[in-house]
Amino acid sequence: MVDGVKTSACSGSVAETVERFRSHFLSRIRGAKFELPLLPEAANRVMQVAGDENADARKLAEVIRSDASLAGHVLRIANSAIYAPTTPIVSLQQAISRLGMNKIREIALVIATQTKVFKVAGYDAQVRAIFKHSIAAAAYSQEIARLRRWNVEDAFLTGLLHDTGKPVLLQLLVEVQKELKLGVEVGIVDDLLEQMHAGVGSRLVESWKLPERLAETIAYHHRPHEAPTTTQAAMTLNLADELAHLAVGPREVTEESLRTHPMLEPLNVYRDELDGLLKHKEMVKSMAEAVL
Amino acid sequence: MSDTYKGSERRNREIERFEIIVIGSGPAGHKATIQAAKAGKRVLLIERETDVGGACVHRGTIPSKTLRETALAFTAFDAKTSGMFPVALREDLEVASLMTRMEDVIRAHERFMSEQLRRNGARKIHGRARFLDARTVEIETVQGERRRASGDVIVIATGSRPRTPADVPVDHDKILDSDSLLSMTWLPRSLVVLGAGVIACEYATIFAALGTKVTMVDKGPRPLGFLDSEIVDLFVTAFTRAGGIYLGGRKHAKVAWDGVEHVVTTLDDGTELRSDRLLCCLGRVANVDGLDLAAAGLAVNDRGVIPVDANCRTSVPHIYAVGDVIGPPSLASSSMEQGRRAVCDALGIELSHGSETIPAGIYTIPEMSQVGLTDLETIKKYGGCLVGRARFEELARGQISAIQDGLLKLVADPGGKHVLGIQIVGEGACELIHVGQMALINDFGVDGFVDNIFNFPTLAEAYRVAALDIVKQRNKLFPVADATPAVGTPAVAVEPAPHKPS
Repeated sequence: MVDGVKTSACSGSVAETVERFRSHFLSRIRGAKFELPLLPEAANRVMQVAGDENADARKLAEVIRSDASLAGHVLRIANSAIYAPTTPIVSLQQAISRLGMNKIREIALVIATQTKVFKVAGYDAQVRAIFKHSIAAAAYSQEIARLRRWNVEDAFLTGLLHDTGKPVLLQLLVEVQKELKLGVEVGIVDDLLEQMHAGVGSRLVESWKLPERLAETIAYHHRPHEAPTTTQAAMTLNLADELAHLAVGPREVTEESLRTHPMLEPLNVYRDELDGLLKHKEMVKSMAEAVL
Repeated sequence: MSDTYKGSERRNREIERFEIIVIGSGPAGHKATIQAAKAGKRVLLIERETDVGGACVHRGTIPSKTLRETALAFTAFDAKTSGMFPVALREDLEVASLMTRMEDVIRAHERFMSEQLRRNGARKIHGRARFLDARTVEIETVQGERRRASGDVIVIATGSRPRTPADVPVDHDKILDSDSLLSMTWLPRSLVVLGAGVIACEYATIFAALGTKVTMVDKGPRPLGFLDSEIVDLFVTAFTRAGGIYLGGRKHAKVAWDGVEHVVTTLDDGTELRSDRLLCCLGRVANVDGLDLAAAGLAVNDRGVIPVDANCRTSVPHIYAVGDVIGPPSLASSSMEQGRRAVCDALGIELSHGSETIPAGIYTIPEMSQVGLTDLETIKKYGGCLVGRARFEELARGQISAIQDGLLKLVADPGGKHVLGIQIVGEGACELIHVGQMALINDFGVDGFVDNIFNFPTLAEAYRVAALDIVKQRNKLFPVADATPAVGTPAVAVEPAPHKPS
């Protein structure tokens, strides 16, 4: 892989190189050649079965069993501390009963995307951190939704998928670096990821035929007030994102900074309610760790 | 000047003074604030939510009525076109798409209420109030800042929220209450409703009309125990025809999510119900947590509500409580009047004697409404009664509009002269009731409905038909018109005619 830590400009100044890289990268994203990854087959089937009114836990178990890695993950999560089983869960059917069809669908989605699509050579640790963060954001997002009596299921899903644009961009970065035969500093990579992940993630979610409102929420999670129809959901995700950074990183966030978070007022989250959310930190941590 | 005095001055400066403080901006608090502002008083309104309007605007009345309009349009289209254009909802229909107008309706209402406050010069603070003593409240903002305000008069209008019994694990996802019900993504295929009060019945019939298989469970033999039983029986008939099931005389023993796809409700008779979602509607509790009523010298009674007198004054003379926080009737309409009355009483503004004829409007499908006495209450009070009935399907307007299950009951004194109560089931009931309410308040009399002309074809004609029904019975009982006894005179007890379902 290209060493992404140091800029190794072939010619001209660093600034010119960065600009060349940036414009090439942007043209790739905007161009017809940029293909979004397909939803992995296993996740696709799990989502179909979980959404089918005639399907039962047995049928879902069969689908999960067909993907060894997925099956292993589901069992591990069902046995994790968050669900605290009194007796060990050994069968997928048991796991499905414990977690619920919808939860399995969500887990399948994230695990399948993680294991099949988003293997970015050289960026393993970063991708893992993104997923860990996404699980924590999902957990917090659903707790905020519960508090405000908004849709809990949507909140969980948007939390889970809000940063899926990042691994896609990382993959593209690797390709562009190869094409241009240059390495780019970590700072520049992070900047590009921060700038573009919401838009790319939203396109990805849309291409997977998930509801439009989820795509909009993800697109606007860093500027929720601009969301045309999903302001509340985007604000929820924005706060959940920050809480997830506090719980599992990767960005360092302090409790003090959260207490003055700009979303607290529009979401009407009072001090004691924020304290309640902060109390979930350990639970959220163990949930995120169980998935990875 | 002593140090103590200076210290006290400083504290006083920190406390902002108002003539009236209102806590809560729902129907009761909003009207109290407007009344105070109109009287030229310096008034402060404290609201814990971002927007004004309370649960009525944001979680209850307005959202549910908006969904109801969609359900009604859907069912009415089929009935009015005699099924010529078969309509069916998509199986994967999202609840939000049935309520596309809701946000607009809420925003418009909220804007109107805010504008009214602004126009009348009322001050509003977004925060939570807590009594420090009988005259002072502390306001905590979302940012955690605290400030103090004192009021010569304080009105508590903090409303209520759904009660969650310990044995119903409400998670606002699969097992919901009326605050979270409309946040559902998909229209559920099946819904179990615990409880059979107003909110339970409204949602049960709305979802049944939208094609959800609804099962209502309640300990009462029939829903809505406070309403006329004949009216309720017709309502149950309509609900059953829409595919709903009412399981009376039963209670939940256990409610749990099966972890896969159903909420499993086990009843005390062993019946097991499996549904996509469950709605818990087992009463409401007053929002008094965090108010620290004790600091103001107040306490709730054994029903968990703040006791008040006829003008909503609490045991502390300058503190009033209005709306859901004082218990039944807990209607938006009566709450508004309580808010107005409380402030008028506090300011010494003359009040007409409180009207006891508060109508109850229930926005089920079909609607129900009643005002005044029922037949049983009249018999108990006057020893008898005459009841006139008009069925909507016998009216030209009823036929034209394809209204089924419509009935208007006019309850008169034993002599059949004075109107004492009206009960209506059928579309338009909540509007139609007001004709009867005015007749009742002004003692218009049964004959007034017969001697005056109504538009044709209208549902209001039902009043005339029902009045004629009473006149017919009266003529039979008292062949000489002048011999009819007056109200209160012991007369021949006439049992209400047993209801014969048509």
